[in-house]
Amino acid sequence: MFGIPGMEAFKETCQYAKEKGMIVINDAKRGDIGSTAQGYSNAFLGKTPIGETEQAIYDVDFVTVNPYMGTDCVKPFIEDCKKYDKGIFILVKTSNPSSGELQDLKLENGKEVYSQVTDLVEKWGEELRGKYGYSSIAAVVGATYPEQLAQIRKNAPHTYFLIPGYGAQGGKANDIALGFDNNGLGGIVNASRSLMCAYKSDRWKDQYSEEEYAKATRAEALRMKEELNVATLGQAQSRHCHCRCHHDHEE
Amino acid sequence: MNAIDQLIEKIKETNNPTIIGLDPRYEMLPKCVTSKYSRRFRRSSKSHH
Repeated sequence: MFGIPGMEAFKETCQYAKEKGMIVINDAKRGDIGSTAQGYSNAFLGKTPIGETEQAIYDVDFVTVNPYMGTDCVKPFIEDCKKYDKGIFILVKTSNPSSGELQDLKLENGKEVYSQVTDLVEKWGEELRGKYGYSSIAAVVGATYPEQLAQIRKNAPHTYFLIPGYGAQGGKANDIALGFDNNGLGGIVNASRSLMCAYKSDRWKDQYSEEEYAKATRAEALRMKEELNVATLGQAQSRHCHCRCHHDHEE
Repeated sequence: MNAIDQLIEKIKETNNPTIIGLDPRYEMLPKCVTSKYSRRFRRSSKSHH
């Protein structure tokens, strides 16, 4: 979008965020044949061989990956995740309006395309499961399709979700909570416009000037965090309740 | 440490499961920022010609 200076700013921003102790996810949505995928993986997760040396280029923590081209195209990323303790979020069910055009199609085995991809992600992630039971091979599942979000959570107990679509795209906190487990884990929720442009929003524009854009972003981020925590806690409690009721009936 | 464990531990530590998405389209940036860096933006637009 901004050419070479944009790439420089991107690299500086990644480094700055890491210095501040943040986890950096590059939403690059990469997907290409094996050797090219290896190049992308070198650039974002691993190292690029240059002569006798190997150099880390962007060195982010996670990158988003498009699985459309199949296993051999995702594998270079998975191998680098093992080698460098990195992770990927694979597009499973995206938040955009046309995402159903291909992702919701029913296959001969009766599953939707996104369900088939869910199964592949669970399988690809088997070797990279950590101490919480979740794998570093994770998934992108949008907040804008809550039914699918709940279904995928049920079918992919080891898969962490990056959940886009909150705020400006219309995803609500209660919908997002369907992607979380009973321990309040399982999802990480993205918001871009509502945070970056908080100083312009009806909620904050009277309280913060344009020069105070960072304070407005912070205020909105804290508000969002509270709203999500209340929703995910409520979701977990209602599941516990259903569980208890069920046992009561059995007794 | 396993990447997802690192992410989960940060989420637990901050009690915050949110990502701040940076989508730096020009019109989304505050004017007080774009005006400060106008020379850099001009350099950027030149490199497209």
